[in-house]
Amino acid sequence: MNDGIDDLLSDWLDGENENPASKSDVPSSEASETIAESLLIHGMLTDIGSGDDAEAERIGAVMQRIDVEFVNGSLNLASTSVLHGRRRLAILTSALAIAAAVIVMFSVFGPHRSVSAAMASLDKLMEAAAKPFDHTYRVRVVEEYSRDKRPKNLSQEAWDREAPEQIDGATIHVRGADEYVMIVMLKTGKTRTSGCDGKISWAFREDGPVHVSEDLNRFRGGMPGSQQGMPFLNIHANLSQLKVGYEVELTDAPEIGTDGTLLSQLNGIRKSNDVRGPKQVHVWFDAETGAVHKMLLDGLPRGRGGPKSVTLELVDQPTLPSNFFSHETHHEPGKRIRYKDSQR
Amino acid sequence: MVYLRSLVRDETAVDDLFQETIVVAWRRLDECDLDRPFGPWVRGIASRLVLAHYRKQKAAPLLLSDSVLQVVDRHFENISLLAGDTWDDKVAALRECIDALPERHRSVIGGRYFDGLSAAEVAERFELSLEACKKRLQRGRAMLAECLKTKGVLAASEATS
Repeated sequence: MNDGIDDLLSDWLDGENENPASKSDVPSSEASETIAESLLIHGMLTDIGSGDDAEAERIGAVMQRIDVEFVNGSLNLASTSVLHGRRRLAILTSALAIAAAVIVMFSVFGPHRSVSAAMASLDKLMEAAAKPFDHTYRVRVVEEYSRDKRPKNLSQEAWDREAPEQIDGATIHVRGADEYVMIVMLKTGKTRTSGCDGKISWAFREDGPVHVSEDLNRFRGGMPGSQQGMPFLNIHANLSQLKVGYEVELTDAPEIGTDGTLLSQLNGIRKSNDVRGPKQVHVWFDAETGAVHKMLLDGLPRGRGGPKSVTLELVDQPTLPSNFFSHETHHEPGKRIRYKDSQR
Repeated sequence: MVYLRSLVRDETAVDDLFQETIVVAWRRLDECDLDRPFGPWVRGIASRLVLAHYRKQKAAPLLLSDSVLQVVDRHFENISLLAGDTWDDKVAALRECIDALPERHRSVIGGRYFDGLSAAEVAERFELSLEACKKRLQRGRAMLAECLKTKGVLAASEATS
């Protein structure tokens, strides 16, 4: 065995300091086998060495927490007081009833379970989207359409059209369902900033006037998926389309996000060509809060000259100033304003 | 529990993580595909909670890399896949391996795990330096791993299988 790894393992498992390793101690893949075996043996030995009483207490504590959730509708993680006889019997009965119900549910509804879970998750996403928390996303182009040959079903005009924005690398700040700011680089090298503060929408190029409209969706055209009515920036307004126009399914393997959050994955496949929107939508969201951490839009309509698939990844959950979603925050004072609505 | 104890040293934290894992699993049962093995799903939840635990402490052990977690998971997978065996059979196999250890290794392993002593206390009991005791413990664990491989409880490493 490698002496260095041997010493590190020994320090970790038997030393006073639980985490003695330094940056230079990151194990090679070859050492992983050795480390894993030692950890497993350590776990088994510790388990054998622990008494039965501890196991009983542990199970009792878990049962109590489940019971607390069952009674209150939410978990009280701090509560672990001693259980008494009748209470324990009630908990056991509850647990057995839950287990029986789960078995019946799976046997009866088995094939549809992931679909119903997906629908429940969509509801959770909608709920989360309505909360006025700030999220910052980065857009990445995953795949561009080939420009070698024009598809038969695409007009020459659409084929010739080229998207003015460089969507790759764009940044989107979102608050709740209606407020957003998107900053995108144009192919001219200038930036285009667009947004909505919930009352008006606006957009301006670095070197141009500010266009303002009372139509909150007036300037959403440049956003990935927005022209297809996909639920990302306006989840509330568009989730119904995902529900109706897509076959949605929840995967059973939770993933861990770059910040360590436990993520669930929702996959949507477009039911037919009659539905406007990407062929597939994959959403990774915080299983606890419902916050969207990553979204992959694959098979975007190519009529606007945009990419074939893009991802939107959560890069920050900042607390932005209250006026952040107003256009005045993003340009110098005195910039020319052009109102798009006739009443102005 | 064995899985958690493999990854976390602090028994109080192990208890908390065990509770958390079961409660999260219970709360998310509707997301579990019962056509697939249940163990990997629960271990997936547990491993994420372990990483979150270390992250909260701002002290994630660097030895606990993704590749290490994968190998640990593979070993558990192998254990659960062996037909006709129960967990008690694995424990019995481990006990046989402990009995087969040379006395100098068996005694320190016994003191550390079955008498609940720290490495320093084991060293004191057997009049060893702390470093020598730690090396003996580590060597003992490595010998037990080899023994369990010969009994088919632990999978041979991928490089050799």
